[in-house]
Amino acid sequence: MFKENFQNLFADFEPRIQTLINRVLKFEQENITYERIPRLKEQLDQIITEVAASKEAERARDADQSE
Amino acid sequence: MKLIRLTVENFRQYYGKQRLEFAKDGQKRITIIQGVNGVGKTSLFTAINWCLYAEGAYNIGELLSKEAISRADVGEKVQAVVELVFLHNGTRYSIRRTLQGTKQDGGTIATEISSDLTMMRTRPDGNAEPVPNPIGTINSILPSNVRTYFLFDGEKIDNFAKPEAAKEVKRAVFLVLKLEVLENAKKHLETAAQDYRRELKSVSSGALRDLIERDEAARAESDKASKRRDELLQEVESAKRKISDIGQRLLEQQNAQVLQQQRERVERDLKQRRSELDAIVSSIRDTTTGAYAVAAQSAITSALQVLDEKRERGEIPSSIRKQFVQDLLARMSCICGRDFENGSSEHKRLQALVESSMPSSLEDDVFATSAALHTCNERTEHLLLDLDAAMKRRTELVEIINNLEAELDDVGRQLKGSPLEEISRLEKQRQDFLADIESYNGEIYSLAAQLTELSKETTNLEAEITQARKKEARERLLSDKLDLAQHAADAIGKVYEAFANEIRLKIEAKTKEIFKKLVWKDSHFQDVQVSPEFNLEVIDRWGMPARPELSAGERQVLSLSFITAMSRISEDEAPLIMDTPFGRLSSKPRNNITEHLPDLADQLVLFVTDEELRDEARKNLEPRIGAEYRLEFNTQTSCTEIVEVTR
Repeated sequence: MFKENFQNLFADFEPRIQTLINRVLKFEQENITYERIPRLKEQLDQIITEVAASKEAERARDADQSE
Repeated sequence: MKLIRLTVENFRQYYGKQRLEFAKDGQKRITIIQGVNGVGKTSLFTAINWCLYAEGAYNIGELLSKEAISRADVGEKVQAVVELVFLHNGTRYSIRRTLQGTKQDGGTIATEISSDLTMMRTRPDGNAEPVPNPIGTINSILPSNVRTYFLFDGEKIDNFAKPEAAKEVKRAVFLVLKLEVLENAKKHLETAAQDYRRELKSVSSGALRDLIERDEAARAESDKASKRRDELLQEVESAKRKISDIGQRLLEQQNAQVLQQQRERVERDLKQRRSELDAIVSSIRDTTTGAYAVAAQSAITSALQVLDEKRERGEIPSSIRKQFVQDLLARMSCICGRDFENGSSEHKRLQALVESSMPSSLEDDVFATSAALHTCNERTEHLLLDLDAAMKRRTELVEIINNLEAELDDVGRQLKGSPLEEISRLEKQRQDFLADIESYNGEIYSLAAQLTELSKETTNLEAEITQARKKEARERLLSDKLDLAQHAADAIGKVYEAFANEIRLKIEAKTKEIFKKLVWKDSHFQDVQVSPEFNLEVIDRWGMPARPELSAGERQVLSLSFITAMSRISEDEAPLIMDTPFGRLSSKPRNNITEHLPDLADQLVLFVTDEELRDEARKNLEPRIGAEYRLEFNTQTSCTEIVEVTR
């Protein structure tokens, strides 16, 4: 229930934000023991880029369909 | 996380391979590991910590079985192994940590620097596969920094109930309830958003839109110019056709026929002369590109003069080759066929010629240079002659053309001044068309120049747009990333405070509920509070804070209530593993705790002394015990054996 609540906390936000938050929370949880997470910037950027790229792919698909 | 099996091999006082299975049944969920003081309860407790987190043991002496070391030969490897099998969210995991050392002379052991960890999981098809990121996976299941709230020494857990414990209580809530994860995620996303914003600011310029607008404008202008040029070309063609028609009509007019025929002849002649003039002008242009030879002519002449003077003075050889003279001397025969003798005047002259000559390679160079200079001089003279002729012809042609044009003008004037109105009108029309063509051609020329410039501009703009597009794709991605990171950070921030407060209130209620069950003086305490500052407080029956007055046992109960409350609320499926849980408790609170403890965790592992668990306490737990082990110390080997108690 707690875990569901944890995810439900963000249920009102748009799906991509939920996806990003879930992925970042998982990443943070996996690295919780580090005082300074190694390659934090790069790893976080990779997660954000992947979620952002899904929007870019959507945009390209929409453009193809409209053509 | 539900523990299934623990295997230890040559770990501390556990020599050889020994194993215990944990109780995991919903009803019988308690595992009892019983032993007297010093027999190795804490070693087993440490084995679980070490296997999961490589913590709890700080040197090899503590880890490797001394019995195993003593039995090994010098140079032989000794290995300590702990393997823990558990279930988590329906998946079976197996973690194996090993540490290896080599026995040295004198019985010491040289160890490898770090322990080796492998983690496997069982796939749905029943086959095991390695887990690629074991440390991250363990932290996802039961993070290292919250382990102390699930694996703890019962005698030392009263920390949360001490007056100065607010910081520790807050930290525990943050860690176990993952508030720290939320807080870190928010902080790191905000930093990422800040970085993106800075980067976006540095790359963003809106240049692409400007370039596209400029490109569109240039292309529109080019289209317009192109259309106008086409219109003008059509006008020119039309005017030419009309001039041709007029010419035809003039030929049909008896009084104009001769003049029109003269005009057509002159025009043909003029066309031919103009073509010739073009060719001449082109040839003059080509010739003058070699004009540097003309400029060098005086220098070439001077150089030839110097060479001739030196040859006359004998400073450089005449045109007679040294080899030729040497051949004559070898044959002792003159060029005319007459023989001469050694020391004769002919012989002496030829000797003098050889001696005055220079080395053959220099001789070759001098000849070659002289020849080249002569050739160059001759060519320059020809070039000057050709240029002179071309210039003369050009002048002639210009004069001829002027005359022909004058003749044409005269024809035109005569026709225009004709007393016959039709002829005069036609000629006037013809001259108007000619003027139009001239004007059109001027405009066409200007448009062609404009089109060339516009074409260059659009080519350059295309290249710039391609570059800007690449930049804009990066800009768009950056902008998306900034948007995502900032919104996600804001979303976490928005729910964080409310969530943290909700969690605090839930923990407060649950702690109170458990505390009231566990504490034997439940009527003395009416409330347990967790303040917004995360102070854990107990309120007595008079509504006064009672925490400072709590006994050591009551503080332990309060801490246990708090820990189990967190565990219940987090719903992390983690076992409670307690080392010496009842050591400081007298019988009444102990009985109370043992009555309720089995319901506070899904799995309970208790490391107890025989004294801790007897009488009513034992009776309370008995129905819930699923597995029980006795740790037996062998006085012969100083090793401990794990013995299963048959139930």
